[in-house]
Amino acid sequence: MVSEAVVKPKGERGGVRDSRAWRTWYVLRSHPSMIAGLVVLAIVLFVTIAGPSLVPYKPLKTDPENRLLPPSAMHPMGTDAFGRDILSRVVHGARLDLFIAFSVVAIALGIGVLVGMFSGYYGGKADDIIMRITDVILAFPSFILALAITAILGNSIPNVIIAIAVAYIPYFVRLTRGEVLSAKERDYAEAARCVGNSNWRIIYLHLLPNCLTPALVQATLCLGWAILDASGLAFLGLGIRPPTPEWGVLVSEGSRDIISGQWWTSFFPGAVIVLTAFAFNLIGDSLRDVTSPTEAVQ
Amino acid sequence: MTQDTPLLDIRSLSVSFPRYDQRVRVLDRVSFSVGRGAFVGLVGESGSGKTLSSLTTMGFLPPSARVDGGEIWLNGQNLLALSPEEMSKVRGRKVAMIFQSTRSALNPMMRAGDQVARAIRIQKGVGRKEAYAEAVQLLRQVGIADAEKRARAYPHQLSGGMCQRVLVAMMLACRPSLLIADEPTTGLDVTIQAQIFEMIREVQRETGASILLITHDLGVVAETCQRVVVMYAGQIMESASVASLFARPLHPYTRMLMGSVLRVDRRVEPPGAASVMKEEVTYGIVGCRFAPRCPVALPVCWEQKPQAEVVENDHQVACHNWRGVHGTGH
Amino acid sequence: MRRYVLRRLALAFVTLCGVVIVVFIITRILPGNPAAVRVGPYAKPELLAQIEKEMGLDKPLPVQFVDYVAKLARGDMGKSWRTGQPVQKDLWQRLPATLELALAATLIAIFAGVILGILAALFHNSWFDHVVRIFTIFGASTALFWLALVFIFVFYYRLGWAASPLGRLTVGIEAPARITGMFIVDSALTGNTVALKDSLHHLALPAFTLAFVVSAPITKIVRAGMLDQLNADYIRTAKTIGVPMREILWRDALRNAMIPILTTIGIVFGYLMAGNVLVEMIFAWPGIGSYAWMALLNKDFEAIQGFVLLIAAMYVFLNLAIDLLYSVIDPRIRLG
Repeated sequence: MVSEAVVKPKGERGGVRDSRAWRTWYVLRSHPSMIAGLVVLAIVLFVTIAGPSLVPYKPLKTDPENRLLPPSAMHPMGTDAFGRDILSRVVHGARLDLFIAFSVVAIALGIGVLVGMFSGYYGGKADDIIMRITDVILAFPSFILALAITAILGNSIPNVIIAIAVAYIPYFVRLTRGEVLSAKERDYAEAARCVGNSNWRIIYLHLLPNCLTPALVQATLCLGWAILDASGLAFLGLGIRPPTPEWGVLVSEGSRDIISGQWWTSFFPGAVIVLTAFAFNLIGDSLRDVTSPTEAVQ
Repeated sequence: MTQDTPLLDIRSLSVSFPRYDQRVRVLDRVSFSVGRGAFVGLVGESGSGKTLSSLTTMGFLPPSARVDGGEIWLNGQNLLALSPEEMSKVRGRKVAMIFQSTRSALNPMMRAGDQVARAIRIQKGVGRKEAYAEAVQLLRQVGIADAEKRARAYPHQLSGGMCQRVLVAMMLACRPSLLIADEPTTGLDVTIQAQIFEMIREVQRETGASILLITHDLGVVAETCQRVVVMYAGQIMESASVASLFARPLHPYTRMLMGSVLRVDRRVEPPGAASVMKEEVTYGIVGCRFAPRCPVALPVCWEQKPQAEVVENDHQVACHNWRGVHGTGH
Repeated sequence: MRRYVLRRLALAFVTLCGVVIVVFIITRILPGNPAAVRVGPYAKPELLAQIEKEMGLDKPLPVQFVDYVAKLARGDMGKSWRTGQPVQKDLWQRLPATLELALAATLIAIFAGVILGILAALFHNSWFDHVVRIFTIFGASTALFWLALVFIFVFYYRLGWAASPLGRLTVGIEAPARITGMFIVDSALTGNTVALKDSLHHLALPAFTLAFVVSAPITKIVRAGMLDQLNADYIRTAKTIGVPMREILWRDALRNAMIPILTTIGIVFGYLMAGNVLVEMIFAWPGIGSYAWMALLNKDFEAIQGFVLLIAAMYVFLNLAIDLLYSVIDPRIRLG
C-alpha cells in the first residue's frame, strides 16, 4: 500500500520558498553591500533628476562678496573662490557626470557585445584580427588612451565620451566572445542533433541572455570607472573645462584653495565622485558574487 | 578495548546545511561502524551523504555545515569533541582519506616524489634525503613502474591512475588505522580500477588498516568488500555482510538498487514509479526518507524513523515493513 | 617551454607594432588638425601652412607613416615644441623620477596587499575580512587626484608630517650625483645622508597616495586567490598528511595563487602609469607624468605622442616579463 499522504516539511509556509521572488529577496537581504550600493545610487539618481530644481542657487552665478565661505546652514558645502554655492554646482554636475558615464557604457556595451559575438561565433581570421586589435587597445592603460584621444580630438563632451568608450570596448568584446565560445561548445552538439538546418539565429537568441549577465556586471563596474576617468580628465583640463560644473572640474578649481586652508572647495565634489563610484562598485561586485556559478549551489 | 570493539563507530550523527533561512538536515541520525581490519563498503546514490559522513569523520566539514548531534568514536576518542589542533594530530596517523578527484588532490606545483617525501618527513621525522629515498620506494610499492623517473614528474604529467597511486603512497606513509577511499576509481579505466583495488587490499594486508570504501557501484562492493552499509538521503537503510546482503536484500531500497537482481519467483513492485528524489520533500520527512519512493511504504514510515533491527548475526535493516517485501519472510 | 617563450615574444612584437600604428592613427588620422590647434584660430593661413610643413603634416599619409616608423626605429620621437629638445631626451631625463615613485608605490602596495590579503583569507568572514573587503572596493572607487589633495591637506597642511608637495627635494638641498637618476638609490650609493633623508621625506606622501589606490586590487586578488586555494582538494591532502598551517600557507596556497596575483600586478601597472600623471602633476614631481601634463597644456603633440608610445611599450614589456615569469613558476606551463 502506498501512502498518499505528503508530509509538509517542518516550517514550510505553503511553498513560498520556491518562488523566485522570495529567493531573489532573500539573496538581496544577505548582501548588505548590494543594498548599500543601491541606496546610494538611488540618492544620487534622485539628486541628479530632481536636484537642480531643488537647490536655490544657480550654479554659474558668482557672488564675490560671499567667496570661500566654509560649510554652513546657508551653504552646506560652502562657497568657492567666486562665491558660487558648491552644493548647487555639485548637484548640477551630477547630471553631466552621470550622462557621460551612462553614454560611455552604452556605447562600449553596444559595440563591444556585437563585436564579441561576431568574433566568437564566426571565428577564423576575423576573430584573430579582432583579438589582436583588442590586445593592442588593451596595451594602453585606459586612462592614458582616453587622455591621448581627447587631446587630439579636442575638448568637448562627446569627445570625452568617445575617448573613454573606446578604451572600454575591448573588455566587452573579450567577455562576450568568451561566453559565445563556451556556449558554442555546449549548444553545438545540441544543434547538430536538431533538424540539420537549425537556424543560427535561434542560437544567437540563446547566447544573448547568457552573455548579458556578465556583461551587466562589467557594465556596472564600468559606470564607476567612467566617472573616475571623466573627472580625472577634467581635472587635468581635458574634455570638460570650467566654468561647466563637472565634478572633476570642481575639484580642480578647488585644489588651489587647499594651501590656504579652504578644504571644502575640492573635498565635497571629490567625495561625491568617490561615493558614486563606490556605489557602482558595490553593486557590481555584489552582482558578480550573486551571479557566479557557485552561488547557484545554495 | 577488546578486539570486538569497532575501530570506527559512528553513532546517530546528524549534520545540517543552511538553505536560505532554514537548515536542511543532510545527515539524519546516521549510525554504522567499521571493525578492525575490516573492509567495509558504504553504498548509496550521489547525494546520499556518504562523502559527507567521511568528511565529517576527517574534520573537513565546510564552515556552513553544523553537526546537530551524534558522536564519532575512533579508537576511544570522540572525534567531534576534539579541538582543531587535536584533530590535526588524529589525521594522517589514525584516519586518512583518498578523495574522488585524483589529480586535484595533489599540489600541481610540487613533484610527485617530493609530495610523498613530505608526508614521510612529517610522519616519521626523518631527513630530506632519507625521506625521498623512501618515497621512491613507496611509489614502487604502489605499482608505479620506473619510480625514480615518475617521482620527478609533476601531477599534470601523470595519468589519473598514477595520481591515485601517488595519493595512496602518501597515505601509506602515514600508516593510518582507518583509510577512507571515496570513489577512488571514478573516471578511471576498468582495468585500472582493478589495479587500484588490488593496491588498496595490499595496503590493508601490509598495515592491517581498516578500509571504508565509499561507492555508488554495488558491483565493486560485491568484489572487494566484506561488509556493506546502504545509505539513502542521509539515513542508513541496511547493513550486512556482503554475502548476506546479496543473498537476501531486506530493505526495499536495497532491492531497488539491485533491480536487475530481483528474482523472477517473487512479486515485487518495479522501481519505475520512483522519479528523481524531491529534495524539499525528502529532507523534511521525520520518518524514513525513502517513503516517497517506497513500494511498500506504510503511513507510520512517514512519521517514525525505523530503528535498526537485527535480523541475523550481522544483518541489520531499518525498515518498518521489510517483511512486506518478502511476504511471509524466510 | 621554448615554444611558449617564442609565442609570447611574437605576440608582444605584434602588439608593439599595433601600438605604433594606433598611436599614429590617433595623432594623424583622427579629425582635428594639430597645427591649427597649435597656432590658434586667429592665425594667418601662411603661418598655418608653415607650421603644417614643420610638423610634417603636408605630406601624404603613407609617407608620413613611413617617416614616423623610420624615425622611431632610430629612437627618434621628434622634437618637443615646448622644450625644444628631442622628446626622447626629455623622457629619458625624467624617467628615473617616475620609476622611483612607481617602484616605491608598487613595493608598498605589494607588501600591504599580500599581508592584508592573506590575513583576510585566513579570517574569512570575520570583521577584519569585512573591513579589508570594504577597503578594496573603496580603493577601486577612489579618485586619485582627490585622495592626493585630501592627504596633502591632512598630512602636510594640518599635521605637518609630510614634506611640502613641491617636487623631490627641498629648495636648497642638492641632488645626489646621478648614477641611476633615482635619488634614494643614488644618495644611498654615494653616502649622501642629507639628500637621502630629504628625498625620502619628499617621496613618502606621493608614494603612499599611489600605493593606497594600487594596493586595493592587489589585496583583492591575493584574498580571492588564497580563498580559492585554501578550499582546494590538495590542501585537504596536505592537512591529512599533517603539514603545519604555516607551511600550507606559504608553500602550497600562495605559490598556487601566484599566477592571478602576477597578472594583477601587470594590470596594476596600468593604473600606476595613469595615476602617475595625476600624482606628478599635484606634487610637482619632475617625472614623465608631469611632462605629459605640461605637453597637454601646451598642445605639444610630439611630446604627447612620445609619452603614450613609451607607456604602451613599457606596458607590453612588463606583461611579456610577467608571462615569462609564469612559465618559471608554473610547471604546467613550463613543461606543457
